[in-house]
Amino acid sequence: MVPEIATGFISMSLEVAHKVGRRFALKKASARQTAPRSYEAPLWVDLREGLRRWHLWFNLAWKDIRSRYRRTVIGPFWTVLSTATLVAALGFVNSTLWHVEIAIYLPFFCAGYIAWLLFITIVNESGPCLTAAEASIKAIRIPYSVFIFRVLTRNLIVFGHNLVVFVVVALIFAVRPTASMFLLPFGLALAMVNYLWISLLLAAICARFRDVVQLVANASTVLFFVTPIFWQPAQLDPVPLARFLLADANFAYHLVDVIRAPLLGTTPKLLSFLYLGAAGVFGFSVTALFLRRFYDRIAYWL
Amino acid sequence: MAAIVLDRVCVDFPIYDSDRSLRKLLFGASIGGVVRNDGTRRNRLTIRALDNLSFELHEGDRLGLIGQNGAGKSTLLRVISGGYRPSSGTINISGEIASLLSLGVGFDVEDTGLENIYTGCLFYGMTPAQIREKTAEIAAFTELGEYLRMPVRTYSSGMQVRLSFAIATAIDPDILLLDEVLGAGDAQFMIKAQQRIDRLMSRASLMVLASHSNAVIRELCNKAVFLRAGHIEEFGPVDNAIAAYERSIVAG
Repeated sequence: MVPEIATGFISMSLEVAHKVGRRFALKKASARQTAPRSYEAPLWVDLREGLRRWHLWFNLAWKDIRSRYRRTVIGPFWTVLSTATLVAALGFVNSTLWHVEIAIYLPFFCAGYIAWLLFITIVNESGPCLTAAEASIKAIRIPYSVFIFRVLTRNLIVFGHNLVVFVVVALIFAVRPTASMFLLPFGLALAMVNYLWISLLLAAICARFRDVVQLVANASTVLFFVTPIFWQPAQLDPVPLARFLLADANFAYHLVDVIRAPLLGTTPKLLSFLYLGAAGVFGFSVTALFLRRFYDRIAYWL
Repeated sequence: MAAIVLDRVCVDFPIYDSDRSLRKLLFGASIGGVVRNDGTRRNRLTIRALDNLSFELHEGDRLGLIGQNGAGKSTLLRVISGGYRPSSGTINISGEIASLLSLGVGFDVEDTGLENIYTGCLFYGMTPAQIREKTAEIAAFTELGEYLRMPVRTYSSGMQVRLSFAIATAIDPDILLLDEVLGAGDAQFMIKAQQRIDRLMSRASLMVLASHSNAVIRELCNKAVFLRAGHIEEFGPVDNAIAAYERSIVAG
């Protein structure tokens, strides 16, 4: 009797000890997981390794363009044609409605619209870009930024096509070339740097929260109407608050204007450069922090 | 020198919603670890696919992974390949890895066979110069001839396997990871595929292979690990691990 109780007691206490030990072990394991990492920030490692694979993403981007027009007769000319049609139609309607001279309105709208297309297509295509590459990401070791660079490159190529439309418009309406046009590469680069972090951050978030893809698609339609693209920012001047909210404080406005202004031969505002510079620093910091915390989890989200 | 060092590696698959993640987890990857509540976060459900795995492999080791479906074999291969990062614990790898875990990485059926060879090799990390060097050899191995100039969409599934297999095995790795995915193609091609894998294995200095065939493991491996529900039941000589595995099957 007594030995039985004793063994029972012992096995019970062993079990308790085991459970406590286990809990302790689990705690240790999770502490290990959240402990500050001593290695390089995942964002930089990924970007560096991704850049090194430029053959791959350039090839993928080029293939994307090619496959989009496979077996069509006029191929990439479709991009040019659809942009040209919309620019011509909206340009005609709006210049008539607002009694603006078409020679002023059409180049303005065209330049703004192709800069806008660059922005909004990147934003919308970034969300699903990692999810789409799930099979490769899980099978081999590959930097995520490869798929981001793919989206950016693809859209730069499309932007190049759309630029043809602007050149034609500029020739027709005799937009005077000025020295400010040399600012175009600089403005474009500044915008692309911002698209890089936006794209990375969005791709990671959308892998986890699939609703964000839809949310972005939804928001981009609204953003088109509230951003000065088919109307002049100067039209807001009578209402200072609106001018501030829709133009000066509007990220999309500056992203568009650093490309649009040089195209039209005017100098972008200093505010735009400052805004985008600050946004870049801020955005990359946020992205770095986000990836520092979640980089290892992304493959599991896909 | 090729080496793989795992230190207390755990892999937890989070389940975010039954609709999306769970279905994918259950039918996509063959994992079936321990379902449990992650105590640290608000009752989030996780599946522990790998539980506290520690071992070291060095030059010359050929490790066989055995265990039932869902024991964590594929997950372990994916952790070594770098697809999945461990939820906790560390893994250190030195050496170039080639992973034949899934065929058809970066495959585009609209592209021709030759274009797919180029893209596929880029995915596996080759440079264009290396690819140019290898293309003829890959093309010859597929025996697809003029079909290589046609879109892959027009291939039979067996022909697609030939192509993707040839691409995946074109690299010269230090570490070779193999999952038994290579069950397609006609008999003659299977013999050829086996020869190619043999050649790859003889050149790689370290190999990890998952298989349900004890005969294959016995023939190819000099070490084996028996996994059950994500943890190591037995690690060591092949015969010991297989014996432990067979005992567990008999015991049910």
